[in-house]
Order: sequence, then C-alpha cells, then structure tokens
Amino acid sequence: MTVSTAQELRLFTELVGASHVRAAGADDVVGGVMPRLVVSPADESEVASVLSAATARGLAVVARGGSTKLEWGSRPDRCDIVLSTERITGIVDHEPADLVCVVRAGTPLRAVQETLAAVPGFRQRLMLDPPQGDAATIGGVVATAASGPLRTRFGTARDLVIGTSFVLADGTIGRSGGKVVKNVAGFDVAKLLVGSLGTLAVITEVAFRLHPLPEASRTVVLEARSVSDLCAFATRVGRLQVTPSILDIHWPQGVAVVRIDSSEAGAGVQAERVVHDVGGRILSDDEATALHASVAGSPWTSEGTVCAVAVLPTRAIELLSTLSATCDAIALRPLLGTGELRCAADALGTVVDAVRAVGGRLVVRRGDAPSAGTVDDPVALDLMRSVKLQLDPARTLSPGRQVGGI
Amino acid sequence: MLDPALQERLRAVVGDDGMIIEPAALQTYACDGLTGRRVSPAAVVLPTTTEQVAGVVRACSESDVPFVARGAGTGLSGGALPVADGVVIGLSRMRAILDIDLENQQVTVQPGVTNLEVSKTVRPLGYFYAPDPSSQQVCTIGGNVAENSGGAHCLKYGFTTHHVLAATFVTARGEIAHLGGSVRDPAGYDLLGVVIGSEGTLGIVTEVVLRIVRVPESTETVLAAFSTMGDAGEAVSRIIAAGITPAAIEMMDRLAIQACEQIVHAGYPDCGAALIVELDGPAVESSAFLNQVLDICAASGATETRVAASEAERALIWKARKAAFASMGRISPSYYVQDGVIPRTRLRDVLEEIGSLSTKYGLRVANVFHAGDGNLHPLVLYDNKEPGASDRALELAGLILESCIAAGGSITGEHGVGSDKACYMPKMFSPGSIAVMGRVRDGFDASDICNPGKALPTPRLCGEVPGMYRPHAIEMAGLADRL
Repeated sequence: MTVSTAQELRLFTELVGASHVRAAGADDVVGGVMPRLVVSPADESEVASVLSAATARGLAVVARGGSTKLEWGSRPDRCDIVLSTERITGIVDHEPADLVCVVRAGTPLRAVQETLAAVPGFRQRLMLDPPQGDAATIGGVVATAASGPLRTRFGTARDLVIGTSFVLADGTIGRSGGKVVKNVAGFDVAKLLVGSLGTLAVITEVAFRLHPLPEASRTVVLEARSVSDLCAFATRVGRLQVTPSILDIHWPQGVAVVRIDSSEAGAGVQAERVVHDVGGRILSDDEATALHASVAGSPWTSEGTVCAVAVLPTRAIELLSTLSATCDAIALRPLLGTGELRCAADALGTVVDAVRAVGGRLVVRRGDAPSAGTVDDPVALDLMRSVKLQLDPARTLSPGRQVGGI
Repeated sequence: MLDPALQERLRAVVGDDGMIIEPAALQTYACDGLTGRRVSPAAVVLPTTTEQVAGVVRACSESDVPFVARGAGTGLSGGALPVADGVVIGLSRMRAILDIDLENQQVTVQPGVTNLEVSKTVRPLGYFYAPDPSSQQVCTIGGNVAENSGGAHCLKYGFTTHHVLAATFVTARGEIAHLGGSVRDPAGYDLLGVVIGSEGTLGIVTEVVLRIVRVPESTETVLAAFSTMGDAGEAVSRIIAAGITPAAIEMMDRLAIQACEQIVHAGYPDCGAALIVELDGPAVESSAFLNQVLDICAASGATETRVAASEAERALIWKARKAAFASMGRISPSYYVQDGVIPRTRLRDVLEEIGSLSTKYGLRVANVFHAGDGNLHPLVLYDNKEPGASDRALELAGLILESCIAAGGSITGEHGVGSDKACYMPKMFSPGSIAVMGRVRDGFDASDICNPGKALPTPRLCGEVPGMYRPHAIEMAGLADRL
C-alpha cells in the first residue's frame, strides 16, 4: 500500500467507518483498471461525503451494485475508488394500492420482487427482467438501462422509473420526479440517469411504477429451422389483436416464443387466436416453464463476446438472416428491433458490418473492447459533453465509460 | 422594441409574411391559456422549416435576445408567455405530416401538427396516437413534447415521453441536432428524455418521430353514479387492487356534472360523484374486465351504472367530461383551473381538505379529475367583479397544491410549471434538486435565453427562494412525508 493509499484509507474511514473501507483486490477490477479502495457508504449522506472528498482529491469513483454489468460501457480512464452500494438497501416505501414502490439503489432486484410478491391481498411486480437479474441491483439496472423479454410490453427502466434520488460528484443531493406516476414538475433528470453508466451521478433511491401480476399466462411457441419462418411468424403475431408480454426469437434454438398475460379467459382466447391465425402451439404450464427457463439469460449464458443490437423492426429479418450463421446465440425482440447476440471474438468484425448494412446499431457489452456505442451527430454529442461538464466537471464519476470518452 | 439590425436579420430568415411586429397583432401572442398573465413580445416570427428556426435562434442567440417557442397556445401554466422585448417563435406554419411508416409503427410530423390530426390520419389504417390531452383538437405535437402531455388515457398508455422516439432539435445557439432515433437504444445520454417536459427551456423540436399504437379490438365505457366522492374513490381503489388497468378512469363531482349537463346534455345522473371507466383491448379481455368493474361499482355503493351501447353513446359521455373546464363559465363568472397530483390512496383525505378549504374561503370548488392516476383538476369558482375574490381564489388554489404535496403528490400532473407555478417548485423540491435541474438547463442553454423564467424558480420571480418550504400540518403530524 502506497503512502497516498494509506492516507485515503484514513480519510474514507473517517467518513464511513473502518469496517466499510478496504483495500481493493483482484475481484474489484473495473474494465481492466485496478482501483485502490472499496468504500461502502451507509446512506445518501455518506455517499455525498465520499463523493465530495473524492472530487476534492481528484480521485475517480465507479459506483458498483451487484457487479453483474460492471463491464458495460467503455473501459474507465481511471478508477481509484469503487463505491459499493451494498449497504444502501431496502424498500423505503411500498403502497400496493398505488402500484408504486420506492427502493434503495443497492437492493437486489430479486429481493424487490420477492418482497412485492409476499404482500398479502395484492399480486404485483416490477416489470423488469434484465439478464443476470437475480444478483443485479436496482441502481445498476437503472444505470445500465438493462432490460429483458418483458420489454416488449412494459418497456425498460426508462418507462418504469417515476422518481430518483441521486448524489452528484460534488456531494449535491438531488431528487427528480416523485412517488406519483403522473407528474410533470421539474426536469425529468431520471431520464439522463437511466443508461448513464454511472457517469453523471450515483443513484441512491428509485421510485417505480408497478404492474399487477396477471391472473393467467399462456405461452405459444413456434419451432422452425428457418429464420424467415420465425420472423414472418413474429411479424404476423404483431399485427393480431393480441397483447403479448413477451415475443422473442431465439437462435440457434429455432423458436419464437409468445407469452400472453391476461385474465384466465383473455389469455386462453388470445393464445388460441395466435395459433389459429398464425401458427405455433400452446404449451402446457410445465412445458412453458421449461421453455422460458431454457432460454432465460441467453445469450449471456456462455463465454464469448456479447453485443446489444438494434434495427428498425422491419429489418429484423435481414439482421437475423445475415447473423444466424456467424453468431453462437441470438435473442431478438422483433417487434422492437432490439436484441442481444453472442459471437466468437474473431467474428465481431463480420457482425459489426452486418449490423451496419441493415442500418442498425451495435454496442459490445462483453468482450475485448466493450463500449458505450457511438453518437454520430456532433451537436448531440456536444450537448452530452456539456451536460456532463455541468454535473461532473472534475470527471470524478466513471470517467471514460460513456460515449465519446465522456 | 427589437434592435433594428436583429429585426432585419429575422426578416431575412422568415420573409415579410413570416414576421409580425405591429403592436396590435402582437397582442394575439401575449398570453397562452393562462389568460391572466400577458406580456407583449417585441416580435413574432413564423418559420416554415427547421433551417429557418435555426436561423432565427442563431440571430437571437448572437444578439442575446430571449425567445419563446409557441404552438397553439393552449397551455394552462403560462409556459408560452412571451418575454418582454423578446421574440416568439410560432410553429403554426410547420404543420406537415412528413412520413407514415405503419410497418414500424412510426409517424414523423412537424411540431405544428395538432395532436388529433395524427390520430385522425392513422385511424383509418388501424392505428392511433395515444396521448390525448383534452385540448387535442387544437393543441400541437410541439407543445405536447414541451409539456410531456398526458390525457385521459395515459393511465394505460403512458405520456408523450413514452410515445416519442426521435426529434430534430434546434439548440439554444441555433445548431441542429438529432436526438433519439427511429432505431431504438441510441447511444449516450437520453437527451430527448429530458427535453420532453422541459417546457421549451432547453431548445426547440422541429420534427418529431411518434410511436403509434394499434386501435384496440374493443372498447367498453361505463358511467357509474355514486352518492359521494368517497364511494366513487373506493371503487377506483378496488378496481386497481383487482389488477385491472383500465384505459381511463375519470371522476366528476356534483357541481362539475351540473355544469357539464348545462352545455352538453349527456344525460349524466344527478349524483354526488360520477365515474367514467373505460376498458379496451382484445374483446374477450375487455368484456371480462367490464363485468368485474360493474361488480366492484355495485359493491362500492354505485346508485346506477350505464354501459355505452354504441360509439355515439361513448362519444357523448366523453364530450361531457372533456367540456368540464369550458362549462364552468355557465355556473361562475370566473374560475381558476388547478392541476395537482396525489397518490390514489389519499383521494378521500385530500377531497375532504379541499371541501373544508372551500367552506373556509367561501368559494365553490368543482372537482374534475383523472382519478385513475390521482390527477386532480379542482376548479376554483369566483366572481372577478368582487374585490379581492381573484386573490382569494388563487390563495385557495395554492393551498390545494400544498395538500397535494403533503399527501406525497405533485404540483402538476400535466399542465406544467410554466410561469404560473415556478415559485411552487421549492415547496416540492429541495434547493439541491432545483440546482441540479438548473445545471442541466445550463448544459443546454448557458446564456438563459431559451424561454427564460419558466419551469424553474428564479430569485427575480420568487424572491428569496431557499426557505420557502414549510412543513405542512399533515407532515408535522407524521402522517406524510415527501420524496
């Protein structure tokens, strides 16, 4: 331990207590950068004192939740301190009749879902199901805008967050939104934080809109070895008068999965409509559970480079056709034109070209050179830099992780 | 007075017929729907292209002259109130629908297109544009983006922010940026997300890509009568608790019903509270939920329920509801429209408080609201010829907002902060929170010339801002706290 690290250890010990500061180890590396300390503040005000102390000393801070998406975004330029949100946990407020809950940022998503499910007399859920969602924390899911199959119907954190509390690098504690779904008071600062990759503020608390759990679910699956059959099926389901919660195509499994959540009668009739008008078959509850489990987390479940892709929905079929031979696994949400794929490191160049050829975007999430993507519009990029400069002029928070080296 | 050099520069951008400087003509632009506040601008320009908007803004920016973008001027919070000696940029001539992409469920429009026109255009093709503010016949998409407009059906479908994919954006310095994207998940910060609802203080959108949704297979509309607002509120809570997400739940009290009946004659029952519940989706689903809603209404003490049997009957029920504000003129010489939000579960308490405030101030308050999302629109009735009445009405309306804040709600659900409520912001947000919003604004418009004085409090408008917040009695009693 160097002299300066010893001084920093003393400083942060004063702020959060000796048992909540430690020297960083190999498990604490962020994107190849070895931090010096891991600091675990207890609450918002300790986060504020840690951040203002770090900023005053020119130290770079990376906020960390469950570490499930710590690779997302470009590699940080610097990382001196890992700020762990592990102690900032718990549900602050849950009013079931209002379908709203307020959660501290370090709370694992799984714990939130379990608590919500256990409330007697109500059946409700936070409709977020990101990859590696069990260990993921609320703050991390919001900061990465990670989403899963439920996005088709319920959107991402962008659509479900109704309020946030956060701390800027200079220690300013701010809030936006509130505890009510309908609210236009003040700027929607939360929109900037969703997907910010920790570069604007440390999120300490999030208020979410919840949804009722459905009375019944039915899953329809179409199995096909032809990419075009799968895409044609998905497109036609999208035009039916049905409201799928999930509509995903998985390759190389060769399945299109449709899940309808509704009333008992509503789910049955809609599933039958899919089968009758378009095809596929309705699964038994056991088969459905097995199928959803078999594709859960794909394509993250094996080693390899993982990328997020997005195209216009109408070009999803071209994307899937050109990539099906190159990629090891693809999970595509055809109604939105979004998805994730896994490929060998040396196939990445081919994949990038293929995505570009259909007018799409690609972001490497896991691999040799992860990135936050690129912004082609120079004026928009300038505005992003300008917002960063206002909120974090010393570049304390996750420097370099966002687009354009922000 | 506008500097003659700037005036000539603006004229060169928009042409003679796109420029208004005659004092009488400028009066038309002196206020928006908040008619009590009027400021005459130095000039109004009516550009027709993104490049013209950028040219106008560049000219203003280089002369350090403030500008205010304006759509149809239907806003109720003074968001489009001009700045004296500033320029109003009227977007009413940019009213083309540029592209309809049904397969990707996207429509590209200019900001002066009205909200209803989007739905009218795509409805024959089986789609609609979901946000539906009551002023949708005249209000524009540009204004909707500025205010993050909702409407009766946002309970199920969400707000403007959930339906805008991309925008062409003129910055406060007159540069042109493309925010968001037709292809989802654009990289970097979600600047579009913070521009939506920023009340025109961050820049001007000149082209907007909207998401359109399928017209549902079936729609069921119930009109239920209750003896009291409390009973109607109970029905709302039970509907939500049953796991039903109606497309809309609206409530009106006796006074509001009586006023609406005078002009629409929709045949609403004379009752203490009327509830409109609309369910849509696949036919089997909406009819199942309809039966559940009818049962819940009966169990909550409904004295009468009617289900619209035809599109005409449904339209009539909605016509009365959407005429609520306008009909107040029939029962009162003047009225002030308040817009506050409370958690649904606090409905009964806050309505009681509004009732006792009404008695205390000797002013009638008609209640019309989006009950499903707790968005209240109390209408404070007064006689402007009576000395001091308008001040008392404003004071009463202010106290209603304080009850909303104390109940854990918001000072505005859809009308915006504008110039009307900027000084209420410190009651809802800490100085730190407002400072962060101010820094975001500085990131977009460091010289503070883009609709200055709106949305955020300024010392000039609100005096000594910090310290305005005082805990409400309910908070001090430990019955509520604020987020």
